[in-house]
Amino acid sequence: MQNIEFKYDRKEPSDSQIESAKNFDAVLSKAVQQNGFSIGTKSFLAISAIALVALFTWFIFSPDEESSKAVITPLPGFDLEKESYKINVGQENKLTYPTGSVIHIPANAFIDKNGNLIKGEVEIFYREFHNPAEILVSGIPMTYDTLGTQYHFESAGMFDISGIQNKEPVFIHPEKRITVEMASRNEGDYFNQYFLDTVTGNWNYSGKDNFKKIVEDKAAVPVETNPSETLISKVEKPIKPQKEQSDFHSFEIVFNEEEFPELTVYRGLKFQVDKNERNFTADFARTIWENAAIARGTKEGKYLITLSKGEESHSFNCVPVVAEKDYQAAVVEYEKLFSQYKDKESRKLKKQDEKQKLLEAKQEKFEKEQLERQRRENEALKRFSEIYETERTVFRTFEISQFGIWNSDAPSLLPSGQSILASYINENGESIKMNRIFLVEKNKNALFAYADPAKLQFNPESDNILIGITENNKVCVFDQNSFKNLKRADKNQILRMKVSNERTKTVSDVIKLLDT
Amino acid sequence: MDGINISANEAALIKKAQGNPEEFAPLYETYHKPVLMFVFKRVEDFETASDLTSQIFIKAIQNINKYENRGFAFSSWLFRIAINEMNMHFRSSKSARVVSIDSLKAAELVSEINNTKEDLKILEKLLVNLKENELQIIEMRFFEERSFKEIGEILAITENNAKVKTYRIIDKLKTIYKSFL
Repeated sequence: MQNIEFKYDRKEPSDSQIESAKNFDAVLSKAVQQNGFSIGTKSFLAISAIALVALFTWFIFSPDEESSKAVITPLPGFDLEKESYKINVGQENKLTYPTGSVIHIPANAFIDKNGNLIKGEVEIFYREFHNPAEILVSGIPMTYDTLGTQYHFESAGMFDISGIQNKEPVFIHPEKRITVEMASRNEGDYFNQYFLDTVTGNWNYSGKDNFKKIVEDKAAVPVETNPSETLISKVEKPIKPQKEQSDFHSFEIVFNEEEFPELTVYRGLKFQVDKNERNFTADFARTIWENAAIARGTKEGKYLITLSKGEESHSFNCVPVVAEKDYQAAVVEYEKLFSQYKDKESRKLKKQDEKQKLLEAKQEKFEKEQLERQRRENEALKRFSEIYETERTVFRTFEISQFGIWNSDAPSLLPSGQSILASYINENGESIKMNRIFLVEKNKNALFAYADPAKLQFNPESDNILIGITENNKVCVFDQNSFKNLKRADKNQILRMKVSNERTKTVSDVIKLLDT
Repeated sequence: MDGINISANEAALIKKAQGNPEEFAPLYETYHKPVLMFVFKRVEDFETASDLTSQIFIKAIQNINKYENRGFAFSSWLFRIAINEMNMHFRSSKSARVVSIDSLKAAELVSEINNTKEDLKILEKLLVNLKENELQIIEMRFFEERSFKEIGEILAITENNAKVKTYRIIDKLKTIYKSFL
């Protein structure tokens, strides 16, 4: 149930109040200005410089807008190269991209346009976009329309994946998924996954993003406990026979042979009261008992006999004995049994030892694999860092069901706080005309493109820089300090731009401009 | 206020605005007040209504090229944008959704529900049980006295559907009312 407040017979606003709320110019200005894009990244300067170099060429070779599709490469010759991998589809494949991203492809994962399973070799193409330069060059749209509002994407990384066989496109089998662990420089947990519909140019929401940090704690190995306690069943050690002694009372007791197999080997076995037993009296021998029970004693070779009659019962330790006439035969039997017992025990101990060694080898292998994995990931981290000048990164995992462009993004709105009507001059005070103008928020590593260079809006609290491209295709900059010196109250502003002397040819030329 | 069917003159203005956003000015002049009042009745105060109205017209200008003349009033298109913007406002700001009740008009709604003249406070207990789209229909039909045709145009449903939905909502309110007895 929503939060509702009821108001009765409200006084309507007056005509003068309503009139004062009208301001078409302000509305029109905002409507036109709210038409850019933003990308959140780290290590912005060098990367945005690349973007600008790309843009210069764009304005020379700008494609016909009417024939444009959802994704167009605005800069011929500046298109980002794709990595190519040739794989045998009959087995699992694991591909690694230079940034450290990993693509896991299950076996038999592709079909042709008719739905037939593909066999043999397939070529996979893959590339990523992580910074404003790459995204600009890619031509990938970075706005997202939902519920009547247009948002701009802050990207944690995008990738473009496709596959062909004999120059024909292949498709992912509907029952298979390709896992892409995309290395990302953004550790935020507020991103979602989107897939680009290249027909409509719309991003389709695919789910919440999930990521893991590259350096992980070593997972605990589920080491098995020492199997000696569990694997080896109790080996029945034969009881060494003893000769019956006339000085002590002995009993013949019928017992369950299954329960006491060690006692079944001797013919004429009796139970003789242990010489140290103090609980036995001669009267017990003369009594007719109703019940007799045997249990193994606490000491090896001893048995506890319990005699009972009604409420009366007595327990005492006994040892199994044989009569003298049976003793020799019992000894022979014992030696045979003992030898068998020794062999059995030896075999079991050997098996136990082998199992233990296997476990240790398994543990060692696991630890090695973990170390190797960590080494590879650290290398990937280092590689990624070298390319993107960052020290920390995460892997964002996508389970994709189709080829195309996938994105880890968070919708956001344009910066606001101050609006100005801008005109531009160079350092000599001469008026210059801009083809395009871009706002950079250095503190957020974000880049926004405005449709109309004359109408700008920005957050005055951010570290802002303006980068423009003149009608003569020269780069110019309105630096951070100049921004800070803008008077808040003035709607109309003349911006003195620092224009490059030569036509900017290299990235380093632009970087120098941005650093000033 | 009833929806205004598009005259030839207005159609020409819309076409101009689609070519150049600056040409939207006359449309802004015509519809600023109706949109502002539509919003004012649903939000806390005039300032909020004014801000939202600006946002609505910004959206209208940005999306004017998507507008097609299919025999619906242009105002209905604007009110549809207004409803979307207000919904986003309520979601993002967590501010209360206001229902502005005219006592006289509300009494008719109450009698529709329980055939008697009842304290208007019962209406609050009933209306809080409605979903947003149901509440919009009740407001537009009973408090703003819009036709089923216009309600349908604003909500992008047929006139007949608007009629059916209205009567279903009344039935729902009757059922809820009986549960209080």
